[in-house]
Amino acid sequence: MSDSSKPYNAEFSFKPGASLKIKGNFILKDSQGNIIPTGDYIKLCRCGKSKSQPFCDHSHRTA
Amino acid sequence: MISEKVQARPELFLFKFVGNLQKEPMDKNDREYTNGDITVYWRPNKCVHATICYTQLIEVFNPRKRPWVNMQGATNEKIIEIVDKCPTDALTYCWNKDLENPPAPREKKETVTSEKPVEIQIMRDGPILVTGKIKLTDNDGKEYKTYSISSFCRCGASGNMPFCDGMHRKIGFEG
Repeated sequence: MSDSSKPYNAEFSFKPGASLKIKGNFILKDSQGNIIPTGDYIKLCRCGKSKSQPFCDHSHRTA
Repeated sequence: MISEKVQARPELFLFKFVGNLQKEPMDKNDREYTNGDITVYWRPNKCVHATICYTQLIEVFNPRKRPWVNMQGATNEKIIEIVDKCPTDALTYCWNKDLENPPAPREKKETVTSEKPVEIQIMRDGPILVTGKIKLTDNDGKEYKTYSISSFCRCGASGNMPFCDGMHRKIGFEG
């Protein structure tokens, strides 16, 4: 998945008030240090209100 | 009591000068804490609020107290273990016996290579800690400068979005 022609391994993007979108070659670990299996695209909660932390569940829309 | 002894040792004053020449220039907010055996250096402008220090050793690193570092709160070994876990140079340490002849800077931080996957670590009640080479843009396509370690706000209260500024602790974020 790693593309050596790029100066980065994962792309992060965000919109004010919405999630953090992450795409590329990455490993996600929970607060205990355990790897959370994911695909190569995830959306992480940035508003603190998601019921399925650390992932976004669109709670920011109803907040 | 111990700190009085340390302050009375002139060679430590000498080192303070030498040490600062060797390391980066001290910022006015930088602090040093010692228990007579080791000295812990605190550089707040390097902190990315990973929260490892106070979540793993509140007896020593307590942001609610002043001074926030209590060098009597744990053994040297335990303090060193936690300082080594700091992902940036915000917390470093030196053995006082080495102060006169400081050892070469230790290789504390893992070098980020372009082949390694980006590591995204969720911190308990804290930010998203990211290590590796990333590209960060907002929805307008504006690119933000990032470093090999960055931490992103997860609580929604940061005044420095999308980055963490430590507000999760003040609002009591849990997650």
